Amino acid sequence: MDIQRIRSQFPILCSTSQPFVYFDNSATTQKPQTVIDRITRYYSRENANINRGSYPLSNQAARLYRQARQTVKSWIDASDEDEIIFTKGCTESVNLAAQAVFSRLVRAGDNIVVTQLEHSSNYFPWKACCQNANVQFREALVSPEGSLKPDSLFSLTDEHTRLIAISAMSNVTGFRPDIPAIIEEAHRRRILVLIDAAQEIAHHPVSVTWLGCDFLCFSGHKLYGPMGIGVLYMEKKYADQLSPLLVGGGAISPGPEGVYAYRQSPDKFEAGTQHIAGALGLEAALAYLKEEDFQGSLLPYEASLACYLHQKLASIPGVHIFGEDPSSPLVSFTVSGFGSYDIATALAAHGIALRCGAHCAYPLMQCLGVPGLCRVSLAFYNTLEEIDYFTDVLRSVCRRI
Amino acid sequence: MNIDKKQHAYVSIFRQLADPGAQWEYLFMLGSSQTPSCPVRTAGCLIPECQTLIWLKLLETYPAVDFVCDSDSVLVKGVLKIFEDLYIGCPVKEIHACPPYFLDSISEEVIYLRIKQNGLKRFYETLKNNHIKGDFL
Repeated sequence: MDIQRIRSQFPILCSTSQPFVYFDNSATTQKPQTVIDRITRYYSRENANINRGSYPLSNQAARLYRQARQTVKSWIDASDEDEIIFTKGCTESVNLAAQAVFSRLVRAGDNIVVTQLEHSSNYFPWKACCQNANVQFREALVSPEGSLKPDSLFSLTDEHTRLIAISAMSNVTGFRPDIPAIIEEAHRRRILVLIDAAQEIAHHPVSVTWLGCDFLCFSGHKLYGPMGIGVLYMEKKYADQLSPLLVGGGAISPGPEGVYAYRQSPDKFEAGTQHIAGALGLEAALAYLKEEDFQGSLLPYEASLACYLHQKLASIPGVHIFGEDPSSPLVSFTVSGFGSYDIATALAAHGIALRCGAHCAYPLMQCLGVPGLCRVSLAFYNTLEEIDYFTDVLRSVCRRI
Repeated sequence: MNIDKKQHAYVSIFRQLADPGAQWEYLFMLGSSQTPSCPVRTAGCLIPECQTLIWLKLLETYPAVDFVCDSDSVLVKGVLKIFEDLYIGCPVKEIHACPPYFLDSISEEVIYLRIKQNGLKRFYETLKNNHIKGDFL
């Protein structure tokens, strides 16, 4: 893979002569020029609201938006574009799914199971719904190393368990539960499964058809697309029965005497003006990834970077790595004698951007027994030289102790 | 030396250490020597809503203030060391009259604005408000 050619497609990576090593891709990814151009083109020449006007520009925007939905459907191998609901991001997707599920499928006395792996956005929406509905909120425990076995999930389930919400890839350690086995067993027990694919989607191919999940969500901005756009995949059979989070223009069909009915999915779940530019930007990101051979070229290169990173990081005295997969593009670590904030600020002074703290994963941090971690999260535009630079700087910082 | 004079001296130090790297080194040096005299890392002592973890335990409030504090960040411990130097042994009224303006002289590349505005501000507010109430803990 020609890494310099790839990097030249990301303007921010070429925008400064100062060292700039971007290792915070789990927080958000940088955008290729083609995504930036697509959004600019939309607002320059194509902007109109959809499903409201009766003129060519509006019809064209509607067609483009629908095409973007079809592209996302293909990317995650869904069977029907009506199963693709655009949201503001993964957080809204989970909230939408939670409210929808609780609107029809969950009763007082039932329970929902989440895990200690979860990001706040796939933990607190369920907790809040459970509290409001007198439903039990159960939390599957992870090991001290941050891994999760299916047994620890299913030991919490019973005939009143309605749904399991689980991350496909921890945003802290990169740990990946055995999702196919979990879905299979959950369905055998007639339990729904929501997959938080916020991290997974950028590092592994995802097929909702092969997985058989009931719901899946991710954010566009973690997949080289713009901020403000996300996706909720909702299997078609649920879309008809469940109620939306937001109600308003475009989502309802008014009838006589104040009666109204919901439109069909996805319109039902997309009340108000949508982030059309965001959807087109996400589509452009997916087109870019396809053109650059996401599975055949980008991901293998990223995996090779990850192995190199683990090897180099593990060789630094005082560094403790959390997580057991040496090929994970997410690596969290501590350094003896330093807080995570100290390391992050010292590295930032050398142009190295990574995240520190609790990573919005408070149950997992408690389980790991640390107040904060530094996290390196790679993308396919990172380089071996950047890893060398990072580990050299980190080594010199560690020598202070 | 009263709080204001001490604070003025710290402001001068940080202004002389204009480079963020130098300020980082200074705070790291201060923080490395900051050791709480008793256990303080409990849920009840945690200052909420801070990117780093800060703990504060009030020991005495009258006639003079005494407290222990800690952080998971050595840099923030350096700032807390300054708080200790400024406020421990001082009467309530003097603490109330002297907010920690030395924080403004620390580069935001060293102590981020949100740590100053959230955790460290809350630290001072907790110190100040509990003392105004005259509570013993």
